[in-house]
Amino acid sequence: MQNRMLIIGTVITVVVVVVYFDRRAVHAELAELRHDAASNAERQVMEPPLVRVVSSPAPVRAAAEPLAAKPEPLATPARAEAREAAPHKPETPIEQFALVHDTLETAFASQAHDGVWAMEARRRMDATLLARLPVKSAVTSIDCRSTLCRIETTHDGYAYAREFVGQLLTPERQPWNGAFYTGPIAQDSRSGAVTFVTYLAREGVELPAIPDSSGDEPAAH
Amino acid sequence: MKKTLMLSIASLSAIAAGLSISNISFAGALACTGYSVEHPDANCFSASFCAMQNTCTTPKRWEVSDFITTRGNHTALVTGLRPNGGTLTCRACSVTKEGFAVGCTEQVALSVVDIDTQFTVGTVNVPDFGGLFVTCEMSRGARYDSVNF
Repeated sequence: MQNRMLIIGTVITVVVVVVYFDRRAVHAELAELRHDAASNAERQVMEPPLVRVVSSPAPVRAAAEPLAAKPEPLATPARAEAREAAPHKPETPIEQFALVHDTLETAFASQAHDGVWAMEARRRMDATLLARLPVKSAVTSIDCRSTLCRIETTHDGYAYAREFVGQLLTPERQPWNGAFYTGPIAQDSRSGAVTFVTYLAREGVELPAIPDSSGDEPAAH
Repeated sequence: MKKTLMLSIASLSAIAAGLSISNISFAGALACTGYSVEHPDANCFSASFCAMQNTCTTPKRWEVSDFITTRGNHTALVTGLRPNGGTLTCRACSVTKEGFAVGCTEQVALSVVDIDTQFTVGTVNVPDFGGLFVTCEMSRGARYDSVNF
């Protein structure tokens, strides 16, 4: 029986060690490939292609034809790396907040009205947060449900919105000790005015979980 | 005896390999890597083995932050000490890369006294390339040891 357990234990250890080293080897190979690709891309940048030296109508044609219309040659590691290295358009603050906004908006819409708490919450908000509203900021709407309050505000720009958010972060200026999310949902392209929405949870109640788009287990890291 | 030893080795190896394969990482920071929220209060804090203690008579706030590359939920776990009769309350917040607050947990108070204790502050969703900071308000003698998230 003991021998059998020993054999099983050894087999498990061997399998685990083999898998571990296999993963390491794959990682090392990938790193090497990336390095090679980066070197190739660097060389391509440093050594301009002949077509750029020889005077030809090629650049004109390139400008006239959209890049997407060109047939894409087979992807090489160097090309893939070059694509990855190209600067991507960063997410705007509105886009960054979109997932949180969508999740909480749905949760808020599904909640029932709680007359007593909602009235008390509204009173406390008037006395604290809204009484000290920064200049060039205005409240568009306030609505409280069973465990959540939704506050929509407009600000003449992000600088004023930052002041408003700063108040939420200061415990003594918060209407009550509650978890919250706040962020921009729209911006006027001409005036620069931004619309913010804030979801403030009732004290002792957790905010609805935001889907973990990274696919990792929440709280694991 | 041998059986137990072998099983232990196998289990540990399996856990180590599992963590390596699944890319699960555990992040966190010691309190001394943080800062006083109010600059003039910095003199109120003393460090001992990288744990920060408030030595002033009034409550002061200490903050520890870190950079997060991938969007996701993070649960903050603070380890600290609350002296009997004192307070230690903490809150975790997430920010965008532009330094805009996105969300905060409510302030959570440590209930245990006179012993270093780890407690859960709550979960916040951090955007891509955003940050996470955990602020603790500490009465005199309260200690902020470290934070995991």
